[in-house]
Amino acid sequence: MCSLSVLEFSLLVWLGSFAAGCLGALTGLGGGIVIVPLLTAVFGVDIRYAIGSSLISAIATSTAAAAIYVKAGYTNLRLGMFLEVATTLGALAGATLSVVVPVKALEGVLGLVLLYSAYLAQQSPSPTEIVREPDPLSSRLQLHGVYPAADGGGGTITYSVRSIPTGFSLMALSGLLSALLGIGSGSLKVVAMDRVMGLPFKVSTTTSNLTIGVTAAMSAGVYLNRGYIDPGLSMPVVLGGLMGAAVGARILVGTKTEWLRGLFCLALAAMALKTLYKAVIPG
Amino acid sequence: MQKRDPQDQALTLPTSPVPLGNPLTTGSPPWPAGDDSLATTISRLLFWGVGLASTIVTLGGIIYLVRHGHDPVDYHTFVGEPRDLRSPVGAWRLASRGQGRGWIQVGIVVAIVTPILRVALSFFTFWRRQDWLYTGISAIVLGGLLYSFAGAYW
Repeated sequence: MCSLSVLEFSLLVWLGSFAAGCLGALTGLGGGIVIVPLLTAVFGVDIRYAIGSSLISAIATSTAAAAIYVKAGYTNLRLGMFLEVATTLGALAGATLSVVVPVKALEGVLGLVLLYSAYLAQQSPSPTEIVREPDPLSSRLQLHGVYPAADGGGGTITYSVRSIPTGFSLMALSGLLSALLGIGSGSLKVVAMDRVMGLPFKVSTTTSNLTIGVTAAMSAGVYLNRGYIDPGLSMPVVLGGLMGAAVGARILVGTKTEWLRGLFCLALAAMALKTLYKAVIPG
Repeated sequence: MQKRDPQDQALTLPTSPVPLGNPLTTGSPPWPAGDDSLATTISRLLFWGVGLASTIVTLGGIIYLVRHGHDPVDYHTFVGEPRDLRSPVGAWRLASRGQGRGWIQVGIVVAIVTPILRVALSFFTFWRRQDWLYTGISAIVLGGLLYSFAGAYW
């Protein structure tokens, strides 16, 4: 890949990020997870530059999506702020750890996270039972909320939150991985919020999305300072990812997401294997 | 804002009247009273923040590609960015000299700052509403963000 000119390289990276953002929005899994392996495994970029660009792309995409979701009334702003305590502390730990963790180990962890995400991606989202009985801790923290019902009749659905300590810990772990690998770690967040804390699907995805921006901003300062964020590389990654997500969100209606889910899952698994292979071979 | 009994709120909200229509277009979230305006302001802030960031990155990208489009590319070996590209102040210095890479970096800084501003806005809103629990929670998040960014500012 060293014979490419800046123009050709930018165009290819833009296209790759566009596809990642589009697929991420279409499947609801977030495109951030594939940006790092795409840059390292396909374009031969050093993992540190890849992490820097991917983090910025995660911030931009989640911010753009949050602008829409927050207005729509699905995002639980209090819950988001509360969980951001966990994700930002995790991110601070992750950004600090990343200095001492060798590149090979980073690639190993990334490979495992990719494999796990591929496993999660092939499971179809199970409708969670809405938590109706008020959880004491949830009440104390005023975390319960309401969101617009899907029927469009203007009704609302009230929900509470359960298993807050477990969910909080998982969110801290997702913050750590996000900072360490430059990903949004949306799949882990959705596990924490959907399956553990029992939040309705729309609330968990939109609130998880809101926390991604702040979590990534926490480690972005550290990475900027360390020289991981290259403007020439970040420009096509950020713009391609944003455009892809915008297009993906528009064509969402009427597409067969099951088929796309399979494709996304295969791509993840392939990149996981390549990343793991790279982590174990010497040199 | 006076202290509400959470359980009481949970019981009364589902039956409270909510504006009709598609929430995506009307933009009227049926939030616990008062969060309405915060959600709208946050939504606007995020929209303009990401819009400004991507516009600056695009303009910087055009300058960069026009001047350096034919240079060979090498991201295979990590050397790290030059000192000026590692801080917002340095990026601004390069941008003011008309450098594309400097402008892209300025746009990136705007993208990073946008979610931080969202937390700051929430902090002041909770403060003004005397919601001390959430003033405290957002203060922790804001403190962490400012601490992490302080190192990168110069």
